[in-house]
Amino acid sequence: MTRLTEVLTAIADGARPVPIAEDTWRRGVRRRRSRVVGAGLVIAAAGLATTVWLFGGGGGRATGPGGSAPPVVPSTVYSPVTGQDTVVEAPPGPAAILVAGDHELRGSDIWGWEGRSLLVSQDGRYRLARTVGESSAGIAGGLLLSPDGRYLAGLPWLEGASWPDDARAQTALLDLSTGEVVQRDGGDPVVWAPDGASLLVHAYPPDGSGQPYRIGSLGLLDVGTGRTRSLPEIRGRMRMGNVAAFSPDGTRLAVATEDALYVVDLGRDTLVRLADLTEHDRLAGPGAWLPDGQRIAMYSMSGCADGESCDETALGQRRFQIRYLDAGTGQPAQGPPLAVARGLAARLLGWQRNGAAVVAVYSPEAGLRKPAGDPSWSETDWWAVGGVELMRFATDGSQRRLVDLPGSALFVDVPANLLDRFGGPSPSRLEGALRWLLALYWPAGQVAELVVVVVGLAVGLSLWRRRRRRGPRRAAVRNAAEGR
Amino acid sequence: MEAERGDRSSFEAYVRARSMTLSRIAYLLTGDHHLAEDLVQQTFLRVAGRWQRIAAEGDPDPYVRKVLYHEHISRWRRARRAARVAAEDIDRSVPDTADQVAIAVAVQRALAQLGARQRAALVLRYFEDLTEAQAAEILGCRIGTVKSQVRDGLARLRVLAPELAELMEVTP
Repeated sequence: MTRLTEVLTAIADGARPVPIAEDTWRRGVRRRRSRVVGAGLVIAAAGLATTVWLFGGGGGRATGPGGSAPPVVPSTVYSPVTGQDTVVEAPPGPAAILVAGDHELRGSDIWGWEGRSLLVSQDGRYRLARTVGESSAGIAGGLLLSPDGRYLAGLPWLEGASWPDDARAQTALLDLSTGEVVQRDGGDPVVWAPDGASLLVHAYPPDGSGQPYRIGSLGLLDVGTGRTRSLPEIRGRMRMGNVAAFSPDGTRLAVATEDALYVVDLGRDTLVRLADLTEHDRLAGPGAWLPDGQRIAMYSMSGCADGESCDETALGQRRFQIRYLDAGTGQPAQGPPLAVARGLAARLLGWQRNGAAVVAVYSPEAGLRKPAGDPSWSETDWWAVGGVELMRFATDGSQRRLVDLPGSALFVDVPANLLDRFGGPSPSRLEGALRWLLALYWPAGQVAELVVVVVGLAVGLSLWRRRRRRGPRRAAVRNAAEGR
Repeated sequence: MEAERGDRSSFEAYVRARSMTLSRIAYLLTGDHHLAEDLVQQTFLRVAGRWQRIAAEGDPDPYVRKVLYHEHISRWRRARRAARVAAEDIDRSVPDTADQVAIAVAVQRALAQLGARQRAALVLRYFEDLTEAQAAEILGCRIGTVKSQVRDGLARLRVLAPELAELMEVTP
C-alpha cells in the first residue's frame, strides 16, 4: 500500500453512509421505462419522418392554373439505370415526358444504339426509347409524342421498326400502351395535329434531288388508315425545330421557311404566304398558334444570325423576343408580353390555360462554333445543342423552370394535352439520389452498380455457404454438451 | 411479477451490502458529502432500471462502479464548479490540528483541483487498487489513457501540494 493509498483510505473513512430511499427501485424502474418509451417514440418519429422523406415524392408543385386534372408531368426527371427496360420490352403506357440526351441518359446502353431517349410514363415508369441515330429537336431524327402521349413518332430507325429497303420516307409510330410499331409511308414526322389523328410529314423528292434543310413535299398522314394526303408545295429552306404548327382546331397549318411564313388551309387545300421573314425571324415552335386561333407567335432573334460567324458564348447569348402576327392578315398583333428567352434556340411547345407559354430553351454545345454562311448549320440539331431547359414564360414577364432535367438532356418533348399538368410526382428522394449517383461520371456509376450487385451476390453466397457448413458443427457441439 | 419481485429483492440486498463502499468512492470523487450522496443515489436509480439484465450477467459490481464513475464525470462536465465549492467547504470544516488530518485535507483540496477523469483514475488505481486494465474498463477508455491520466494527475498534485512530495512517491 502506498502512502497515497493510505491517505485516500483515511479520507474515504470520513464518508457518511448514504441514505437510500425506499422507493429507489420503483423510481428507477419507472424512469427507465419512461426513457425507453420516449426513445422509442423519438426513433419511431424519426423513422417515420425519414421514410416519408426518402420514399415520399421528390417534388410535386402543382403548376396547372387551377385545372381539375392532377399533375402528371414529373417535377424532376432522373437518369435511367442499368437494365432499364425499353418501351418495346415493357410498354409503359401513355408518356408524360420524353428527354433525349447524351452520357447518362444512355443508361446501361454504353455501346449499342446511338439515340438515347428517356421516356417517363404518366404513372411514373421510366423507359428507354432507343434509336439508331442521335435525336434532334423537330424533324429529321426527332421523336414526337402524340398530344395524348400514347404514341411516339419517329424515323423508322426507332427500336421495333425496320428501316425500309427502298428510298421511301416513312414514319414509325410506336404505341406506348402495347409496344407495337407500325410504319407508314409518306415522309418523316414533323408535328402532330392537335387531335392526334394525323401527323404532318415531309419527304424529299424520290429522285434524290432534295437538299438538307429544304422542305421537300409536305403531307398529312392519317395515323389510323396510313393514308397520306399531299399538301400544297412550299419551297425553301427550313429551320428544323421551328418549321410548322397546327392551329388549335387543326384546320390550318403554319409553315415557316427561312424567308417566309405560310398558312395552309387544310379544309380548302389552299396556301397563303402570310409574311416575309428574315434571318432573325423564327416561327415560335409547334405551339406557335395562340389558343384563339387568330394569332401566330414568332420569335425575333437578336444576336448571331445566319450570315455571321460566332462562338459558343455569342450563340448562348442570343435573345428570342416573342411577337405576334395576325393569322389572317400577317400584320403585327397584340399578345402576351413574355420575357425574352436567351440561348442558342427556343421552341414554344404550347400554351397553358392562364396564358403562360411552355418553351424549350436550348444552350449551345461546349466549344460550338458557327461558321458564316454554313448551309448545313442547324441550331436545334444534336451536334449544336449542349443542353435544354423546359421553361414557363408567364404573362407577367416572369419565367421559371418547369422540370428539372438530367444534366445531359439535349431535347425534351411533352404531350400537347399535358401542358397544364406540370408538377407531377417524381421518384422518391432515395431513388432519385441513387439514380443521380449512378449517373455521376457516366458510365462509371453504371459499372459501379454492376460491381456492387456482383459483390453483394458473392458475399451473400459466401455467407450462405458458411452457415451451411457451421450448421452441422453447431449441432455436434450442442449434442456433446447435452451428453455431458 | 414474481420475477420482478425477485429482482427487487436482489437489488435491495445489493444496495444494503454495497452502499457504504460506493459512498466512500463517491466521497473521494466529489470531496463533498452531499454530492457523494446524490451521486450514489443517482447511480442506484440508474442501475435499478436495468437491474434484471445486470444481475443476469453475474457480478453487478463492475457495471455499477462504471455507472458511478461515468455519472461523476458527466456531472463534473455539467457543473465544474461544484467540486471547487466543495473543496472550499472542506477547508472550513476539517480541523487542521493533527498531521494526518492536515495531510488528508491537503490531498482532498488538491484532488478537488483535478479534472474528473484524473481524479477517477487516481481513485481507481490508489484507492480501489485496480489494475490499469480494470480502471480502463470502468472508465471506458484505453489503458494508455489511464496511464496518462494517473501520471498527469500525480504531477498536478505535486504542483498543487509541493509539501506532499513524499506522499506522491508512488509507482503508478
